[in-house]
Amino acid sequence: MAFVNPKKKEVQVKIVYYGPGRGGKTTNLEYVYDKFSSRIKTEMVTIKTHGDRTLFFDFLPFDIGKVNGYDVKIQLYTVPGQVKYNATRRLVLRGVDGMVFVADAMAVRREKNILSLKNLQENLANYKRSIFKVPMVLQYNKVDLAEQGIPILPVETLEQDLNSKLKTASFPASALMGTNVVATLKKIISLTMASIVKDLK
Amino acid sequence: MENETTGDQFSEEVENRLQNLFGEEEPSEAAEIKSADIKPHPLRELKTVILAIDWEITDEIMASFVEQVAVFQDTYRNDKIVLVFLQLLGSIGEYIRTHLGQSHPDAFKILTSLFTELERIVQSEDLTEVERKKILSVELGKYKKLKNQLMPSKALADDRRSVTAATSDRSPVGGVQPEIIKAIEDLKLFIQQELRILREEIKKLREETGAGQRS
Repeated sequence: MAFVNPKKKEVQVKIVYYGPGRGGKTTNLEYVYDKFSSRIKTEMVTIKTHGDRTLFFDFLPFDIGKVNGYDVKIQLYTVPGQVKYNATRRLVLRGVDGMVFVADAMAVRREKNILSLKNLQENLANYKRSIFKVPMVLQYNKVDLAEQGIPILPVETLEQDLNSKLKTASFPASALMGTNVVATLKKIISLTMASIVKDLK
Repeated sequence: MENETTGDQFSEEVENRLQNLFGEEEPSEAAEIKSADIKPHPLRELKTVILAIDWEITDEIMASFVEQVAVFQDTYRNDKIVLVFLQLLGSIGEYIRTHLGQSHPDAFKILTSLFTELERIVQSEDLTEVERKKILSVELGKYKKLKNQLMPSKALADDRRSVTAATSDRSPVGGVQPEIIKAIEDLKLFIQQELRILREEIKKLREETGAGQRS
């Protein structure tokens, strides 16, 4: 549930980018930070390992301005995708308002995507949250690799694997090139804000 | 957050805020994915394996990597710089294959860096020979740095010899397992062999370039 401060007229919205390791979660945030740092005027916090892998999480906060008289503060988080960091992933999910699931469109990662989504479902269940009730957007990242002849899963396959039950918005994307990074972000913010208002009714 | 506006008004307000923040700098048309002018990637199979290594290291993937390096060594046998790149990749790949998850973290970084630069060299038609050599030289520097990190220091080796001599009837020695010592010795030998081959290649390359410049 979002943190709402009626006195200060402020809402804090927590959005978590989830998905398998090396799928492009951090790259999404880095793209947003690099492109819009002059507007969002905040710092991105990131903690990496030796091999440039996300160890704990990335954090990018920014304000979107006033909505319905309230100052809306968005907090973007990523989780470490590597299997061994499940405790951290679970911790980052605490109090999440919206999710972006960043799937890796490479054919060799098909199973990892499915396992990661299942892991998300389990971790949300730990907080008594249903994956079907948390606002979510799916992003099929790395589709640009098809240009280089790398085998990529067709969007239909990704939809079948990941979105057949969720039936939520999805975007083929290239976080590295920035394709659909902003579209994904805008969509999850809209969905999450709508969900918060609905809950407050 | 009170429900002061209707759902549509609210959505519109959110959209406006987001448009203000992210509006104008969305990726241009040029950045969109176009399939019409796709060129086949010259190192496609090798790239697939490199990306797989980035994900997980298995015997199967590493065997495929060694195989692909060999294939491209044959394909690029007339391009000395590309050949040296492939030898460096093969050398690091062999090290990772032997040590798998225990490999030095920098080995993966250098593997990726070597491949990125190799891609650049293979794909950029406008790079001059001098620029290509400069790129190789930078990558070679990184490779050597890793090699130095992997080599046990002389002092450590000397210490180990003296301790071994004094306590030759005891094992393990000073907390260092004989298998580890053997592994380090093997690695040292392996790197020395690889470097010897690379030195010969570079020497040949220099001779050829020197001859080319004189003629």
